[in-house]
Amino acid sequence: MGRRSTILLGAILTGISCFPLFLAINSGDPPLIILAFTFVVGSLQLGYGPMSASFAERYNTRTRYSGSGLSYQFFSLIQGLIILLVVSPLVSEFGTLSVWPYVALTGVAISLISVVFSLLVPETKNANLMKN
Amino acid sequence: MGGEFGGASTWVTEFASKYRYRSLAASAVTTSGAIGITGASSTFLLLTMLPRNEFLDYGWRIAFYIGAAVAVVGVLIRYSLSESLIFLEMKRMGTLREPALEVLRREWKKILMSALSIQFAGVVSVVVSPYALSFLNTENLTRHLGLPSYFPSLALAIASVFQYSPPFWEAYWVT
Repeated sequence: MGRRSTILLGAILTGISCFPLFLAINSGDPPLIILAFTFVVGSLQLGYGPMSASFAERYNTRTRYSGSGLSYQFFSLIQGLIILLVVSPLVSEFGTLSVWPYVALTGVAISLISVVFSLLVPETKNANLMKN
Repeated sequence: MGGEFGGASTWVTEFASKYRYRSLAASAVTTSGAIGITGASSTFLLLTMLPRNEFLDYGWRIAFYIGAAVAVVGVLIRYSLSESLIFLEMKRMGTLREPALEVLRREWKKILMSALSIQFAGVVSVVVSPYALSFLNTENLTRHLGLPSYFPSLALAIASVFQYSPPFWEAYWVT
């Protein structure tokens, strides 16, 4: 499969899983809710697995340590900014009970961004790490 | 993981660079976070089984002592690790690593693209944990649905079993 296609698949499945999560919660059916949570976490972890190898493989040896570390830190930073600038204002605007479609939509949007950018990064499965 | 990610992913990937399953080896870096969380929550669960005043008196300290012991083990392991062959080879040839700011200036495009390509992995912290859980926790909603108050945590705990899935995906799909 390779790194890129797995990350891409993880992003697509995560995007698909956002609305069913809230629909399941609204249905009130316990097994369905558990299934929906499992679907989100499972799809996400599928794409998350290749991250450490593929981040490290993208950089040459001179820049690998900082490059991989900074990629991860920027991932967390952007995630924090989305919570701070998008999700929190949405929740205070619409209230906990009626904001769910917007939060689900944010999840879909984030996943779409990942779909686009995972198509733009190179596949590094067979990369030679001895490069300078 | 946090600040350790760069070093850990680099070390494991370089160390396993000739190995067909190097991505399987590297996925241990992300899964280690899940192992840590499970360890911490189980320790806390066991400690809260103590009588309440004993927990408040000395029980919670035990978790910190265990944490300190784990940190010492981590340091010892670290001192006994050798540098990856790739790094030793580079060092022999006189190539040194570059400071992070220099790397950021030169590779910012690659760094930003990498960060954005994995952004969906934040859906758990952007959508699920803070929001879906509080949505489900909203008292009238849980009562309206007739679910027990521990249900949200139970659902997330069951789903969290999948936090251990990356090595399995790696072994069967990615390599």
